[in-house]
Amino acid sequence: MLFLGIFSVLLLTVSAEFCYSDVENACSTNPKSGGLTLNCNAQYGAIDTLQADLQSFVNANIETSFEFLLMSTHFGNYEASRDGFKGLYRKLSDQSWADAIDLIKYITRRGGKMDLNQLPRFKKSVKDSKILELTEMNSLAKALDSEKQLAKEALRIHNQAQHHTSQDADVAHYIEDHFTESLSERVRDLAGYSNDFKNLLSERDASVSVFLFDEYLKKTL
Amino acid sequence: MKLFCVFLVALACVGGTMGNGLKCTLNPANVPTSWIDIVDPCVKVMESQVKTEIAAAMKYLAMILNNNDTNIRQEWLSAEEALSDALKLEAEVTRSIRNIIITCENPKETETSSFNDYHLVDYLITDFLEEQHKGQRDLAGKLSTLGKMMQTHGQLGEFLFDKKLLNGEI
Repeated sequence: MLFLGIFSVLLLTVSAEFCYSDVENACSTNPKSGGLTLNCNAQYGAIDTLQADLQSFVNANIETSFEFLLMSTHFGNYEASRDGFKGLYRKLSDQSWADAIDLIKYITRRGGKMDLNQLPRFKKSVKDSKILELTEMNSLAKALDSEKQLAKEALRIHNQAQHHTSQDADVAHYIEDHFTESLSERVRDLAGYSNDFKNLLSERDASVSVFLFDEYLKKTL
Repeated sequence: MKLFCVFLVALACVGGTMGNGLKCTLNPANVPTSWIDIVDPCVKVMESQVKTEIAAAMKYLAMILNNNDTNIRQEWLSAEEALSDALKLEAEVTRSIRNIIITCENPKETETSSFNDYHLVDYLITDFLEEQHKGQRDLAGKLSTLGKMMQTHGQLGEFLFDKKLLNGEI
């Protein structure tokens, strides 16, 4: 009997968080607290604690996307005139932008909100000025660092989602599916380009090597 | 000791040939600049237009999300309010494009003040103003339809409008 009592009390406190009880209240003849149905939302798991991290990650992707866009337009001008680099950075910019939009949709799918004022978590290094008119080699290095930073942040969020008390496998899976794999590929590609390109620069005059590498880059897009 | 000295000399030689680092900066080519005829005041307004367009893009992104804010509005109470805000935003962009046209047609403040950038002006009118006017008419039409649908049917009107919009039926 005592057990039943405790059980029903438990049931009562828990049922306070259900959409059904909100609806029952709202549909009753005398609804309490304005008949709000606050529990009729899409939230469950650890989305409320992970939301801020995800929001920051969206903004990190948006910031990275704009940086790549600036790098792309720089290589598109007549003085740099490197169509391959221009295309590569435009592709990376579009990827990060699409990733940001998709992640926003995921946050809202889980009943969360997007906050564009939630700043990216990682600090840019001191050397990172806003000037993105870089040489070909420096731009590859910067691009590699940026993608690595995103990849590391994806791993951190994945780790948080997995080790949270109410392990949110859905967030972890989403990050794996949409971020970790694609980011590791981007990191690998950029690391490869950096090393190949570095070897070409040891020549006395690398002008033609850079031209050929740019042409190669254009073909890989 | 002898071996060590040889090693040091060898290292110095390697350092001598490799120590210059990579040639990361190429010498710029010699391109004449006489063909670059775009003038400063015109470039400046174009730059500020890029900022306006990016700000508008971010504002639309915020509209999709419908959220609270500190420096940009991230929450709208109804579809009508959001559409009406969008129309105002487009009107602002249009006004700003008009100002670029005026500046680039007859730039002041420089010696080259008489330079009329016909091609840029034509591009802004044909591509940008065309898109602005089409977009504004579209938004105004949608807002008008929604407003009428909601006059007597409120929420049902908005729900129906939303589903029609999703299917491209409005």
